[in-house]
Amino acid sequence: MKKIAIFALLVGGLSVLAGAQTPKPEWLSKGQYPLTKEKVTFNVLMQSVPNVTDFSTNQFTQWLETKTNVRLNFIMAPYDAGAQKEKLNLLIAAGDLPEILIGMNIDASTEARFGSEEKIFLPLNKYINDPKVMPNLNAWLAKNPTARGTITGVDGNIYGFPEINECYHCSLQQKMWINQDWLKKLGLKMPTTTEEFYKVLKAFKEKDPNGNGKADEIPLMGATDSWNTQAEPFLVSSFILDSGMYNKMKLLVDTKSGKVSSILDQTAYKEAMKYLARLYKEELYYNNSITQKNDQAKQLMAMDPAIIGVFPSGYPGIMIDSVAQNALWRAFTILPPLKGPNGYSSTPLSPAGLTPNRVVFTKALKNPELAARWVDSFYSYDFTSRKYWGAEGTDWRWAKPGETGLDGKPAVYKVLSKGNDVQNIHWGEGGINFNPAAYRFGLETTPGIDLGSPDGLEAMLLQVTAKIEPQVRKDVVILPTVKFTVPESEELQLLQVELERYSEQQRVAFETGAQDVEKGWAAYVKKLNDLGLQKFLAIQQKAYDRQYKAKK
Amino acid sequence: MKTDVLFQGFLQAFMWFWAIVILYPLIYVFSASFSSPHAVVSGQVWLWPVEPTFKAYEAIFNNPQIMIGFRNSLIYTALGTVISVVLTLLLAFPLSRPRFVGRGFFTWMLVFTMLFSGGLIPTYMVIKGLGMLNTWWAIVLPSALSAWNVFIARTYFKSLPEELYEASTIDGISDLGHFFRIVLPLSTPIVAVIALFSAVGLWNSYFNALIYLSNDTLFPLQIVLRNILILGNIDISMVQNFDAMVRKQGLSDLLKYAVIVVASVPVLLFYPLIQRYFVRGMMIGSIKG
Repeated sequence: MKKIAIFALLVGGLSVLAGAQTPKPEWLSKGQYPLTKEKVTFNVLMQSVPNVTDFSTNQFTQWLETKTNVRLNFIMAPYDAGAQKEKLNLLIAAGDLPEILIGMNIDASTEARFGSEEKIFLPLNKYINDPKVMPNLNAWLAKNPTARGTITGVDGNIYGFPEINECYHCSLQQKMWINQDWLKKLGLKMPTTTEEFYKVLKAFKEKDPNGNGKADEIPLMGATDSWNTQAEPFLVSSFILDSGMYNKMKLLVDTKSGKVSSILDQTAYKEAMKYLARLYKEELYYNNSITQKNDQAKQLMAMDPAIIGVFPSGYPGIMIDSVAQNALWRAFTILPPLKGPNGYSSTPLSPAGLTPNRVVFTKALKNPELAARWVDSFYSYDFTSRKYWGAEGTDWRWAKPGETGLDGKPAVYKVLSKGNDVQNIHWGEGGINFNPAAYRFGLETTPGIDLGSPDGLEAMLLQVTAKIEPQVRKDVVILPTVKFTVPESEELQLLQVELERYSEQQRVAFETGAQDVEKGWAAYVKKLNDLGLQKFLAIQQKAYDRQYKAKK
Repeated sequence: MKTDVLFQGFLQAFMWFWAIVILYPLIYVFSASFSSPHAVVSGQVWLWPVEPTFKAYEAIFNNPQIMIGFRNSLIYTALGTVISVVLTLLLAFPLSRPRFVGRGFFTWMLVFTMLFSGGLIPTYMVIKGLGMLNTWWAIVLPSALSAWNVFIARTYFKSLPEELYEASTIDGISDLGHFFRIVLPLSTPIVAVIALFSAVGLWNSYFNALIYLSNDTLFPLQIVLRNILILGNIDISMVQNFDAMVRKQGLSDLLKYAVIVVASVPVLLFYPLIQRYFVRGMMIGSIKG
């Protein structure tokens, strides 16, 4: 025993000496390795990752086993959420419970059912709250107080360890891209208000910026199905904060009073509809945008010469191939949020990159404390680097002094090998991801990298996102993820389906001019209330208060 | 005479129209698999390959997952078909003999399985109880015997003349001998039909593999295929390795069509070989003698 302790001290001392040359990263694994003296095996239901050949023989799996003395017996589940749910329900119904579930996309209603109702998932509060068991996660939650509300279930218990992936550019994902070559050619300035934007679109349409003598330009185009490719939320945000295409009920919370509201029945939304109808009527907004899929948009984008002036999307690669269409790729730049007629401007700030229930323990787990310590290891830069990139020294290394990261500050790590399409070295995006903003920014980047090159993508996104960040409003925020009890969610679902369907239908009717905004507005608001908008808001308010008020 | 020409002309035009409607998607997928992904995405491919390349096929044959899946699918199909044909014939023959005691009972047992099934979870528990989870047997055994195929075979056997049986019995042959030496040689069409039904079923089977298998090295091609096709739907917020993402997206665009070709070619090759039995066998089985 003593010998081991002395040995450990020696090794520890040596590694401290070795590490002294470079500044130590903030988040390193804090467990005592190996975590257990005798080898322990966990049965893990694991989401498969298409570019990992075989998890059981994977190099990272082997490293993990040697390091922690925890062996994993993998039960592989499909990659997509629908099929996963089927497999999970089957395993639970057949009483064939795995001990740990990783990456199974457990949503709030599954959590409520198997957690607080059937007690199949273990509550994890005591492990998360104990800094001796989970030092890293505990410290991270202490630094991010709102995160606790997001991962807490309706009964006050936490049933899953979260995935942490603070993607800065995704937190401001509603972006509009404008062809700056066309602006230059027509001698126009970057528009800053909705009126200027209207004039720019009109010029794009009429003044033949692509120079082929034909009026074939499409000033503004969107698509219905890809990452933030609908144009409406961006335009509506110049009148009132629109939470984006994925939040159809457009719910907001007032930061002072904590009141939940929807923009759908508000006068500013009405003004926005009028503006949209105007763009649509003059065909400045490509009329097929309301129905077309992104695949069709990509084909329009690929026309030669280019015919698209402005398009929305979370990042331009959704419509343009940065390698094959690099010239076009370079032509587009960010269009910052516009000011509306009243000087209002906004852009939605998505809640921090936190996904609840990435890892769940079931009641079959025999040694939950050890498992919790094992999970905590992943909330560290050393484990996450090995998991995502591969072996230290060959696939990545810690940054040396003088190397800078994406944000220009000292780097944390440098990637040495870009890896293969299909590999068996690391888990890639599988398993437990821990990518706080500082880690993502800490990727060593050549200063002054060409932002228009495919390699400069992340640096480019960082730069354009910084440009739109000042437009985030302080008075209202998007409603964060709210969890409901089983009866609440049953009632809510009925209301929500009808409300979403009707409001969507009406938005299109207003926009296309099928229904005059001024004339139809009163009837629209009345119908929303008849369908139960106020009741819907009341349930949301109640759930929001329960989950977040107490935690503040 | 004139109406004949008109009728024939119309028939020809109609058939050509349907042939084109059915062939076009096949040709499109085939051409797209040989074109550069950029040409496919930008809609330049409509009939023949544009910027022809073998890159997609190279990527497939260098991808261990696809090759393992392909191998597994071949094994499941071959093994499953043999088991299925043997079991079906051995059950159908006694059921076709009027002398067989309990024929009605066994027939009703079969009909019962066509009307009612145990449901997913009990079936899963049976498979688990038999220790077949995560083995080849979970794919080839549960679907080995289809009541439908047994009935087709039984009806076919019934259509063979009873005199054959009498003649061979007089010559002193046993029941088994009669089956193997007289009935089987006369039954190639129905054997071909059953083999085709089960082979295509096994080759395309996805759901059984999904729920009974949990080891990547056992997955059949259909599961690998699905994983590759949904690779294209990348959650960008997850991505730190942009380079890998761009390549992954390209890979998915590139592989999509080629993988479909690779997954359907074996079945397409199989069809013409036994098609002549196919039509005959179906017809014969369907007329009661």
